[in-house]
Amino acid sequence: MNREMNNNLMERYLYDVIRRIPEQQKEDIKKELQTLIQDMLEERVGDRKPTDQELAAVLTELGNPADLARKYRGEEKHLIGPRYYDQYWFLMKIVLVCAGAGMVISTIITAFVESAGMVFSDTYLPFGELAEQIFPFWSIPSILVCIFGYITIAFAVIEHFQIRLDLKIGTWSPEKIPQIPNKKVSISRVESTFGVVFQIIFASVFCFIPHLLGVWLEQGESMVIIPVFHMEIWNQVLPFLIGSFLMGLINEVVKLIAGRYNTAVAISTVLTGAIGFCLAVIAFKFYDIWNPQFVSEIEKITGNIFAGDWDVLRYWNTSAISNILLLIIFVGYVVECAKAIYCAIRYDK
Amino acid sequence: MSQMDEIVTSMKLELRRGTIVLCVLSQLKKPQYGYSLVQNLESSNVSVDTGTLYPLLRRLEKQGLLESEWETDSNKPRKYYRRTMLGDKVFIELEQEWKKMVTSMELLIRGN
Repeated sequence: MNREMNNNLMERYLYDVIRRIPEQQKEDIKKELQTLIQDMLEERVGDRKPTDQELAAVLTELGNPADLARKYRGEEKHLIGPRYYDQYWFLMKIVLVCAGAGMVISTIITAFVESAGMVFSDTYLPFGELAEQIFPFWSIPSILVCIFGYITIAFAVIEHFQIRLDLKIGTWSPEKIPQIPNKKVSISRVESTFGVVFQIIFASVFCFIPHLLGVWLEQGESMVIIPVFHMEIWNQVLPFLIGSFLMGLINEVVKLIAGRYNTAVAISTVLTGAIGFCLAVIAFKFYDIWNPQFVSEIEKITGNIFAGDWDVLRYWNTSAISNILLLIIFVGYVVECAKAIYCAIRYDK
Repeated sequence: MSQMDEIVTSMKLELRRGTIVLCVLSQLKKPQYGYSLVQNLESSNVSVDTGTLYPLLRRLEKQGLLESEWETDSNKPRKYYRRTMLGDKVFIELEQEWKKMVTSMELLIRGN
C-alpha cells in the first residue's frame, strides 16, 4: 500500500514537471529526476522503503513542479522583462495620451461643428445626444484599456520569443535634460490640470444639463426649476459658448505642456482669449440668451410680485447682466495677456 | 536582528550565485552525475539547490561546455556530465579571472 502511494506520488510529481517541458527533453529529464529523487531518498532513509512523508519532504525540497520546469526551460518570471520594459512603457505613454486626447478632442470638435450646423436648421437635438451619436464619451476609457491590452500582449510575445527590438526611444543623452524651472515663471501643473478639469466640467454642464441652472422652487409636492437661460434657442447659442470654453481648454493644455510662461504660452493666451471673448460676445449680445420668462415664471409659481424697492428680482436686467459678465471676461483676458507677455519677454530665452 | 539576517542572507545568496558556475566546472574534469556533484560540493561547504543544479548542467551542456552520457548498468540510469575541450578552456580562463578577483578583494579588504 505504501509503495503504491509512493509510486503514485512520485509519478504524479514527475508528470507535473514533465508536462511543462518541450517534447524532445521529456524523456531525458524524467529519467534524470527519477534517479535524483531515488538518490535523495536513499541518502535519507538508506535501504528501507521510504514513507510517504519522507517522499513528500524530498519533493518539497525539489520545489514546485512549475518552478522546476521553468528552470529547465530557462525562463524568467517576467511578462515583460527588463530588456524591453523601458521601450514598452515609453511607447505606451505616447500611444495612450495621443489616442485619448485625439478621441476627446475630435469628439468635441465634431459635435461643435455639427451643432453649429444646426443653427441653420429647425431640428432640435440636445447636445448630449449629438455627442453620443458621434462618439460616446464613456467608451473612451474602455477603448484606452483595449489599447493598453493590445500593446501589452504584443510586448509579452516579444519578450517570450526574445525578438530583437531597438526602438531608440526612451534613450537618454545630455541634450535631453530639461531646463531648471524658474520659479517665477513656472506654471503649476496642478493648477493647469484643475483648469482643464473645470473647463470640461463647465462645458459639460452647459451642454448636458443647462436646464438645471436656475431657480429651484417647490410647487406642491415636486420641484420646479426656472432656468436662467433661454432654453428654446439654447441649441443656437451653445456652439458659441462651447467654442469659448474650447478656447479656454486649448490655452490650459498649452500651459500644461509648456509648464512655464514662454513665447508659445503668450501667443496662445492672446489668440485663444481673443477668439473666446468674441464668441462670448456673440453668444451674449446677438442672441436672446437669458430666459425672457424668468421673472414672470418665478412670480407665477411663488405667487409674489416683485415690485417693492427691496426686491432684488425687480432689477433683473438681462442686458446689464450680459454686459457685466462680458466685462469680467474682458478684464480677466487683459490681465492674463499682460502677465503672459511680460513673462515671455522678460524670461524667455 | 531578523531584518539584518534577511539582508545578509540575500547578499550571501548573490555571492554564491555568482560563483556557482565556476564551482561546477571545477568538479567536472572527471565525469560525475548530478547528485554526486551535489554531495561533492556539499562536502566543500558549497550548498547548492538541487532544483537549480540540474537545469544549470543542462544549460552548460547546451552552451558546449559540458558533454553528457547515460550510464545504464545499475538499475538506476544515471546521466554523467564532463567538461568538453571548450569547457576546459573556459574553465582555465574563469579560474584566472577568479584569482585576479581574489587578489583585488584582499587588497581592498585588508587595505594595503
